[in-house]
Amino acid sequence: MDLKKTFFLIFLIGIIFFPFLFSKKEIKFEKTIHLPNFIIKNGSFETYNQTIEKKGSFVRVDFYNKSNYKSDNLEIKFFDKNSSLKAQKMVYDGVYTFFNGNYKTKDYLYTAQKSIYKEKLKKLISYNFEFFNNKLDGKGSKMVYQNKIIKADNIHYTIKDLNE
Amino acid sequence: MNKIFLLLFLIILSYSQNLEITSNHFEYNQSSNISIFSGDVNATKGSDNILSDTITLYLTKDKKLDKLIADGNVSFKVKDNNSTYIGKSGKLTYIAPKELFIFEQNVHIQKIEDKQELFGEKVIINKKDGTARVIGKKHQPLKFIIKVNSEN
Repeated sequence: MDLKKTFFLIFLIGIIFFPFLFSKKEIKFEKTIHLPNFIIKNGSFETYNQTIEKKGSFVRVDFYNKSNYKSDNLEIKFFDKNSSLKAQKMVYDGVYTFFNGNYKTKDYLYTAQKSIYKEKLKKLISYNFEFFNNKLDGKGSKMVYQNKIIKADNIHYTIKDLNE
Repeated sequence: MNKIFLLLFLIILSYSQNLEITSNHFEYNQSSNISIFSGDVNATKGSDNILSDTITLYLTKDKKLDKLIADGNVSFKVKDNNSTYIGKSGKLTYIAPKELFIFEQNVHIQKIEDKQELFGEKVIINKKDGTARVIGKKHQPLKFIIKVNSEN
């Protein structure tokens, strides 16, 4: 009986402290042929391919089904593209789904209520999107971007100060 | 009549405001910088307005307007301080660098206040030199309707 109690206590402590221990733990994936180095540490992560490519932070990440995960309040800085991405929530289950996110470069700001990015196809689908640039603005109910072609529905498009 | 057209197109072409376009569908090709709006297209600049089935915008690399083509059931409404002009045509082309306006296919332009009207197959307006050219159909003369005050 005491032995059972001891095991139960250890089990309980394990459940309580596992998330805490996990968040403090540094996980390093060694370089492979296909993936650059990827480091997660204390709610932040970095990826390398010779030099640093991405740096980001998140409030919480939940892993499930081994390779799938979802993260809250994600922020990523892309050093190779000089741009940044923010999302209230991101889910990865073979494709990336962003909720209430925005993508910012030096030239434009793009926001969307929901975006799905299919990495293999290099295809982006967004719903209720807005686009801001110093020359033009646009917003619409749906947008699909692939192969340098944008298709959108119910668009409102503004070209600013045509003569300038 | 020439004064009417000159005034009309000076108003249309004074593009210092934003151009807003709404449509059901939109397609943009990043390689060619061509934007196509289709389905209930409504283009507005200030109080001026163009409606058509499609509008194609050709932008320069720095996102300036190079050419605009409105195609299919084109109708427009233009206002200045004193007058309102309405018109219809099958096609409307605006070439920005040359400041050239080309109306084609059953062109009909009307000044609301005094009912003056113009019918033609093609109307070309050049803002730079302030000239207007009106071309009729083969075997069909141009038609101008000018309301004359008969009271002496």
